[in-house]
Amino acid sequence: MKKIKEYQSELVKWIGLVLVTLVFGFWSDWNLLSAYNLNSMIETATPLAIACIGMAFVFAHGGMDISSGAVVALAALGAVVIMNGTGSIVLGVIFAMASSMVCYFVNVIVTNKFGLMSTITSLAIMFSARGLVTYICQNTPNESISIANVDVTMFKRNHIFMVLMIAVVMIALGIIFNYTALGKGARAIGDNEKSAGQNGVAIDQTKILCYLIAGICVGIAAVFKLSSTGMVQSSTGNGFEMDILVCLVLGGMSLSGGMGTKISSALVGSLTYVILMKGLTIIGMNPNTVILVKAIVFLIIIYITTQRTNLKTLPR
Amino acid sequence: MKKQIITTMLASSLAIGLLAGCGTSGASNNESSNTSSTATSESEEENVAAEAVKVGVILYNYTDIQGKEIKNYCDNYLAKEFPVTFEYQTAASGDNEAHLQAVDSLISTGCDAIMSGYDTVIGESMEKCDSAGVYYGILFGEAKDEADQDGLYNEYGNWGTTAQSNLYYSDYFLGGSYQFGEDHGVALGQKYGQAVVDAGMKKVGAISFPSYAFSDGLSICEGFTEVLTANGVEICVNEDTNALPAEAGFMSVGDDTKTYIAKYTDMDCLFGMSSGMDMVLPAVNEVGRLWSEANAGEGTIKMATLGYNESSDKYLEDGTLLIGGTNNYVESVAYLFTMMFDAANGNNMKTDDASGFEYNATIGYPTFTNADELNDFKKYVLTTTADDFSTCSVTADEMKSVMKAYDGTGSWSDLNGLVSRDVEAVKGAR
Repeated sequence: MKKIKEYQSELVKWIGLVLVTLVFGFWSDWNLLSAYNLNSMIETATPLAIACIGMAFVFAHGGMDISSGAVVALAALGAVVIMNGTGSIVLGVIFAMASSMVCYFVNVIVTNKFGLMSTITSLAIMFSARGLVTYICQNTPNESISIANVDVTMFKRNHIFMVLMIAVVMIALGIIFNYTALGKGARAIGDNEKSAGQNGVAIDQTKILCYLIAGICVGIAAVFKLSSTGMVQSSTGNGFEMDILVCLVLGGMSLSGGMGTKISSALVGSLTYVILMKGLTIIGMNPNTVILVKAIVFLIIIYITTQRTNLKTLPR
Repeated sequence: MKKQIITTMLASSLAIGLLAGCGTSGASNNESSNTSSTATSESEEENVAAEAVKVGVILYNYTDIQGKEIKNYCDNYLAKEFPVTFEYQTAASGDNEAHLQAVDSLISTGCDAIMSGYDTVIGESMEKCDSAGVYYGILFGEAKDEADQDGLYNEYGNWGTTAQSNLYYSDYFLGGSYQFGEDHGVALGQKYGQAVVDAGMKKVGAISFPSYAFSDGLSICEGFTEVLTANGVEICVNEDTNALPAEAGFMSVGDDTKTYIAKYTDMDCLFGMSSGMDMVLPAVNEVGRLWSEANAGEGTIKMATLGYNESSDKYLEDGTLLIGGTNNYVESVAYLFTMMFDAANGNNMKTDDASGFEYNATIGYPTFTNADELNDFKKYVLTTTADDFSTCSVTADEMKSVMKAYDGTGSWSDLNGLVSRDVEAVKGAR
């Protein structure tokens, strides 16, 4: 019985995901599950899920990030320049991850050193990254930079590869999150930073590693986003940060972090979100109304999650 | 736990609950659906077996004259005359990611065909459409053959890789149209130049969007400059190119216009090619340089514009606007719609050797220089002002005369003839 209770919250999330699928599947005469729509949802979910899984480490320790859309744009810009220059997709991916990690490293260092709210720092990163991408793109003949001579089919059409990528990232980071000192430390910081420090958690180091993991994931997501359009322009990644936030809260993740944070929330949330958005589109909801629904879902779930967190939170 | 259950239930059911209130894509779609049923029964009466078709439309917005005209023609005319429903998506100007999302959404909603106001990321869009068996056409741009290229993105970044550019030959790619004539606007530019010369202008400038986005702008300016130069009119050159036009960024047309005219304090006419009426003219007016009676003679610049809006009447009447005009929206939509409707009903002109298919039709670019021409423009080109579709540029009966689904000729050449008429030709046919 205790075991069942332990897994009940996890089960409820997955049941919710199945329910969303069934409801919209039925409503759309199962068009939701057509080959095209399944592939389309995998293409949308891959960068989102990978970024969300990485971002779970940031949220687990109580951090907040709203720069991921701009970081995706900057990482994609770096990747396309490297790919075009070297003809190597591997170097492009590595550079995307590296540039994204640099952004998040600066973010966490500034936050730690100056004691700023992580939201404010990420806002600064967002403006800097977006500004840089916009400046560079506007000074190119097409106001965009396209992938010139590298075949990125694997990142845009190979759906098995996409699913495998999500699985690999989820399993690898799931192990780190649940079974290593880093994951446990991050959640402990989310519950009570002082207490975690007194119990031997290296606060700054843990935070830095969490942000670097997020950086790696956002860098990978950037390559998927870049491949889907074949080019980088100033609007690349617009709104991605908000999609991540909605996914995380939809998966039941507490934005204040703590021991109750589950990395599975990132996966379930992003899958639920993608199915929900695709379902709403298929049944013919006006695109503007879809955005409104997104906002309402976000607000209501934030409210409920906050209520829940307030009940469970440890003394600070 | 109770709250967690609520959270999850909410995630799965909130949207559903909201749907009851927010509704689906609005009354117009429902109306379209209802109309489709009516139209189907009318079609049955005509003993024609045309099947219902769903067409997706992607534009920058539906609030400017172009968007309003297209929506009006589709919803209030085509949807009543044919068994068709329209789905609309908006993608902000220049946002390729948003455009591809719009294509994806339209395919997901079950569209049989998509007409897009974008002429970029065609390769990426076609990849989606080809894999889903959805027809795709460019509403306001030319389809350029870039197949079998070296895999590099072309000058304008439209077609993408080799594999993508080969989709030019896909059965599902129905092409585009020359919006400014087969000569890419040289004759149109000459027409504008002549109007400016006839009005006695002495020092003239022109401003346009970047050439990667509006390549025909260069040809139009070529014709325009040719006439001005031949008549001894002084040109206010773009200092970077030592020729016309000056360049305006998408998001900075107003500011770029102001900067440009500030360099030429004695400019007496400006050819606004980058949304002339909506963006260039207001910028000239804002700095007090627009010649108009309302300005008490303070301004000196008269206008020639690519573009029309509700204020064109006023400015034409008081002599501020020397010549205006716009793409024939109805002809553009009618062209793609006719091909798409027939293709979705199993009669693809592209694969029919007898149809004489070409990748681009030549759409008319109606202009006006006086009140009579403007009245004809409103009556035979616009649908929102005339409110009478029987006089519009292409009628349903004319389209049906070409569609094989309605026992028409199935000839692409006939269709091209219908959609390339000027105002006088349309007037003669009514």
